[in-house]
Amino acid sequence: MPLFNKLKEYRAALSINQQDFGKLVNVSRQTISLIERGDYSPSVTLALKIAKVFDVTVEDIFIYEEDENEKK
Amino acid sequence: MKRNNIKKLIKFIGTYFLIGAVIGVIIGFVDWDILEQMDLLFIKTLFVGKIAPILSVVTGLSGLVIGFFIYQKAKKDLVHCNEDDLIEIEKKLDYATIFVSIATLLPMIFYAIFIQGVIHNITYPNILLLSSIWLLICGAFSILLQKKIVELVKEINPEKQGDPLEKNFSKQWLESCDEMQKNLIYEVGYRSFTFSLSVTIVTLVILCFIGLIIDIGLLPVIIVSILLVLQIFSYYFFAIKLEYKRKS
Repeated sequence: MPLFNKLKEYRAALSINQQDFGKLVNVSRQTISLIERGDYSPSVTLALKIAKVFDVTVEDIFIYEEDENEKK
Repeated sequence: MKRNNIKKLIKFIGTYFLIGAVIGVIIGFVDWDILEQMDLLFIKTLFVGKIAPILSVVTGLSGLVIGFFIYQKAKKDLVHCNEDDLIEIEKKLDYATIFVSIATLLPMIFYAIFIQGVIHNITYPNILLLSSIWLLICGAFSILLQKKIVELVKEINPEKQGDPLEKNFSKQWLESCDEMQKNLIYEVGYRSFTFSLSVTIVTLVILCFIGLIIDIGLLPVIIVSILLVLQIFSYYFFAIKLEYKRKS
């Protein structure tokens, strides 16, 4: 499921590393890394927590684009 | 839709009949006299008495050496790495764990085969002591290396809890995992369950066919059948238990 995100950019704007950001949202550095790479789609709860840290909406960080198979 | 289903069903049954027919033809052409004349005992003596203890040492030693080498490489890479490199280092530690598992399991299997030779007097009893000592050494080093690997993983992921030498290590480790890590563990668990189930079924079928050619006794078939039943029932037992736990 394609779920692009701008987490790395938002995180860089706050000058915070993956480890410390993970502690803010109660997940591991590994999870943050995989989310940024697009290899893991966070749960709704986690996505909301992440958005709350940056004081933005979930849609500002995570972008859902339908792929060709789903369009059919 | 119904026509498609019938076609799929016919194809499915047909494939299995074809495989069965091919295997039946092969077995039908097996020359029973040749098999009886073959000195299978020589092969058994050679493997059980001599090759098995050697393989026990080779597999244990190579598993430990390779596992240690990979662990050291990962430790060295950790010193000068950035955040993006950590995933590759964790992958290296996963591979190190695989080799440590090989170093733990394979020597044990070959030792068990070797013991059969001792029981049936087709090997040298003085090798028994050396093999037993080797098994203990291999096991001890495997545990130590596994502990080192876990410590390095905890250094990379400080939120992880658990000591591999403790009884409830698996439970502590799982509780310290976040949503992504738990999902991964559950997905891996399910995939390995389905794979091992298929392997168990195929093993049972192969044992049945081998039993037609060589007298392997009833024990292998019984043991594999018990494992198959345990796998299936344990899956459904835990599925029902967890479902009721969620509903209550």
